[in-house]
Amino acid sequence: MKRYYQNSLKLLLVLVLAFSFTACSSDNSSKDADRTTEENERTEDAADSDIAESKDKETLKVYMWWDITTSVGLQEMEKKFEAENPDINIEWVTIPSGYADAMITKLAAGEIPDVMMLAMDQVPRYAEAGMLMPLNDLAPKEYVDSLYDVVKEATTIDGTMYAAARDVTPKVMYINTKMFEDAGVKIPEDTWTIDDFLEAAQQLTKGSGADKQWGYYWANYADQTYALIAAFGGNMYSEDGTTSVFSTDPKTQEAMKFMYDLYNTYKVCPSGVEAKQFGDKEMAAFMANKVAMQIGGLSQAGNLAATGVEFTALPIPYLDGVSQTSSFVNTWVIPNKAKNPEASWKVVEFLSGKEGQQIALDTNMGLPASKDVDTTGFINAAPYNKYFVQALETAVPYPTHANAAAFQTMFVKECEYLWAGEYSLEEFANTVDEQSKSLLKAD
Amino acid sequence: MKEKVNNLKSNRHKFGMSYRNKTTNRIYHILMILLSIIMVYPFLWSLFSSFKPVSELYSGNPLNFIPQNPTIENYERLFEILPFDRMLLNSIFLSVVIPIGMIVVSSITAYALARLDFKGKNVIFILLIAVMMVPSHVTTIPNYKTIIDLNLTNSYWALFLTSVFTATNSFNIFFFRQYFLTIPKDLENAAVIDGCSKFRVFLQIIMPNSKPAIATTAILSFRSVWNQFLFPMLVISDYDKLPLTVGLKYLKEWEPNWAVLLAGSSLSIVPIVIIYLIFQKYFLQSNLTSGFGGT
Amino acid sequence: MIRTTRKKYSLKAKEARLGWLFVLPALIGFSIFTFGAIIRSLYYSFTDWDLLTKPKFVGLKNYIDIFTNDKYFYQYMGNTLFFVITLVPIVLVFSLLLAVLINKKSKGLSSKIYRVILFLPSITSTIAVSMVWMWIFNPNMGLINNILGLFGLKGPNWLNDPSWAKPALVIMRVWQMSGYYMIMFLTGLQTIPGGLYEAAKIDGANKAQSFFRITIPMLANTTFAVVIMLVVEAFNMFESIFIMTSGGPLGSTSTMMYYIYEKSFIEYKMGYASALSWIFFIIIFIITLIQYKFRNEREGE
Repeated sequence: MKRYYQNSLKLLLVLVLAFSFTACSSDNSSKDADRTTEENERTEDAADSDIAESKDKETLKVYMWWDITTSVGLQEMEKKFEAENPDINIEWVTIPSGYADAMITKLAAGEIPDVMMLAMDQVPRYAEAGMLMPLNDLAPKEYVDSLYDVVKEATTIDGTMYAAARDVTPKVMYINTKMFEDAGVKIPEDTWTIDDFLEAAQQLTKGSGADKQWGYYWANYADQTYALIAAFGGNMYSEDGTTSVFSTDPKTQEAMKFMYDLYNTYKVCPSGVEAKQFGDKEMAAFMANKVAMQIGGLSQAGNLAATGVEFTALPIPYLDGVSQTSSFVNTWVIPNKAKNPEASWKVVEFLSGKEGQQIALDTNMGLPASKDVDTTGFINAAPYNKYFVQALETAVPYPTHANAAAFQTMFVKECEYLWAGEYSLEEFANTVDEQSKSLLKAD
Repeated sequence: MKEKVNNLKSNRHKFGMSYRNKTTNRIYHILMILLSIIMVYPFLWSLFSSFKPVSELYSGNPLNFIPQNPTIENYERLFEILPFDRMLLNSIFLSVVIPIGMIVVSSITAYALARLDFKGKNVIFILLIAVMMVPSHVTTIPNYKTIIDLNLTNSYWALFLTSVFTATNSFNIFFFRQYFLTIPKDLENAAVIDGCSKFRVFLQIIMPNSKPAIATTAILSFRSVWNQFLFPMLVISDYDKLPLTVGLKYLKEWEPNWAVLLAGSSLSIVPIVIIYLIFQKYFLQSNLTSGFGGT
Repeated sequence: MIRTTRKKYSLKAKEARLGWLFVLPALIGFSIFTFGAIIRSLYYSFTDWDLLTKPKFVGLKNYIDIFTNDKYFYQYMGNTLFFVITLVPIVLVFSLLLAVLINKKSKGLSSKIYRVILFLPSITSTIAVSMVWMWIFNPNMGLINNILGLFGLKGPNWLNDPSWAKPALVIMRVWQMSGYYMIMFLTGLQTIPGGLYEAAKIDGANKAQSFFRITIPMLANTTFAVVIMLVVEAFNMFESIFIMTSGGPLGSTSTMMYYIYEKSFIEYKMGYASALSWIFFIIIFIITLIQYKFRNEREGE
């Protein structure tokens, strides 16, 4: 009887092990399969180009989180591109939610688009994993030279350019004009300083209970917090990317102190909780006329206009004569295993070059990456638009890191404690930097 | 006067109920009604509020049940932001199809374990049941990777496989096996003598006689699949393919208007409540088995 | 003689073959998605892995880091234990009382109706119900604070207050789970022979005495099952936290499950998350074993 059980147990173990490791090794086998199909396709392409002028339309798949049916700008770009490149047909694929995660699983599973949208903070991570094709050889010099500095910095890692800009979003300070008017406070000049900003915030914080309103707010996301750090000239990560600089960089410390004071000393900001009662959206409290000033990018202008709130914008307040804003760059990238890099580059060059970026600007998708783009139309469209363009000249890219996700999750948690006054500034700086060392470590 | 009191006393005997019992009776009912209101209030209130315009919801007294200006604008907005109509169908589809798979697999496995004799049978049974002890979060990450490797992301197969072949179904196997063991052996033996193969015995004798077990398992599995959240959220990226629970999560991120959020919640709750009210017998009976229940 | 034996063997072999055939789908499926997954999860827990690249073996580093280097581990473990220590006794007592109440008139129609209504909260999805309760707990516009206001009390900030967020979640879960366990107790109550109560009454026992001397001991089996299930459910609290508080405010409602989710699907530290889930699993396992042992010892009395 005992042998019965022993034997059946052995059999079971064998079965279990067999199946558990089959699943493990299946990714290796699928990679091999991919390689052979790739090679086949390359030889096919070579054969095609031998047959001169075969006029066979090549379909390139572009993955993104936008929807081609609702994006006027993208539709125009498509029209123009296909007019200039009749042999290429673009198929747009929309991944509406959880884009970064969904794309990772797709790439890991062997579903490789020809071109894909990627947020700049994901670029280092993808690049480090070898998933992106370097663009240095594909991009001509005049293209690279025409880019704003902030774009070049944002898309280059260790000298290699991995991404091309889709559009640039420098930040400005949105002003709720109705609240200023109701409080009898004059809207500051566009040369306003940090001190002017603080004064305005204090004048606009008043009331209690259901009438309570505040002067300033920023959502507890790393990029929102960074916007003010940038205004002070501070940084998040060290040069070599091994640690954060909250206890070592004086400008960063100054910025954090300022933000801490906004909450705890001057009390001009609602807590995240107080702001969220007006909704989950970043600018919900601003839209509800409860917060008078908030930093945001160009896309927020569209959201604000849609809700009917009265607003304008000013540059980020000046500190020591400089108005420095942080800028986020959304990009187009070419996956490393794309089947036709040259064709992919044609699409990318168009979308991120002078022509595509002109359309992007004219349709309010975002600020252009190329200095060659004519901004006069845009500037004339709204009185505050010039500040966006102005910001481009001096913007710094949002700091990115391959392990940013882990760092940012910790950072946001610690910030919550700091704004609530549970930490002193030194405790905060020390614990963040301490934890950053293990979170940022290159694997 | 004394006569009246005596009369009352004798009447008491006649009707067999004392005044004291009547009051305890009343207290009992009041208490139960109070508890019932507590249990039911959130559902009804959510449903009614979903028909209030948002201004009424935000400013009005939450104790006001009935909307003063009833409107369907919240539901209109609901279907506008996300394809909730599609999601409702998706949830229904998944909650019907996956349990069918679960029942098929668990019943044949249970039958083999209950009535067929083969080497290693007991070991297999113990293994299949022992995994109920392992919490689901242990297997979530590896299964996520497996789904990626098998190229099943964004497909309902991922949900099907992880529902049918994990501890969720172990309980069904256990349950069916218990039930099959109680079916009198004479029925089977008679069929075997008549020349039925064991396979036919399964199809034509065991299953038709297990209707209560099938019904209970079906209901429990329906409820379990209807309420699935984490794995569908991880695996499915197309809005059109999401079930209601995940849709609600995205709704919360996109829409600050609480009236619309309540509309979404109501939409997720009403169907299962209806199913529950119709099939209550099976829901309540499921707890009759000893040990583990499905959550 | 030989003939019948041969027939017996072939029949037995046929039955064995059919048995294996029937069991095969579940066996294969479970091997991939359950047994295999458990083993792979253990393997991942010894690696550093971000899903994009191959897992890198790091030995016990994750486990060591969790116990020595992880600022949040102990706090979140504490949160989880808080939920277990509060939910289990409260739901246990509450559902038992409900069952006793319902059982008084178990034959009547009204009792059947109450039963259905009280069970209702446990069948709906936690996600949907959490949304409704979020609104109920809203400090200014929600139901609870408005009712408290009627009595002249100012309600706390509930989900937004680090001290009140956990109690708020406990309230919501008690509401949601009690009906389910009430039914389990009800079934248990109905197996107690009425004769026992009659005998006690004759001996002069009052209601309280018969409750504690008869009902409770006779419910030992059911109580045990309920406690086991409650402990597991309390440890696994996730969906309500995911929707209602996202682990906040100030990390006061982050439980182990939530932490594991955050580490794996937000930070993409899958190896670390796997180690966390194994530690968590072992803790639950030990607690369950203790419960079994405790019960066996009591059985021996």
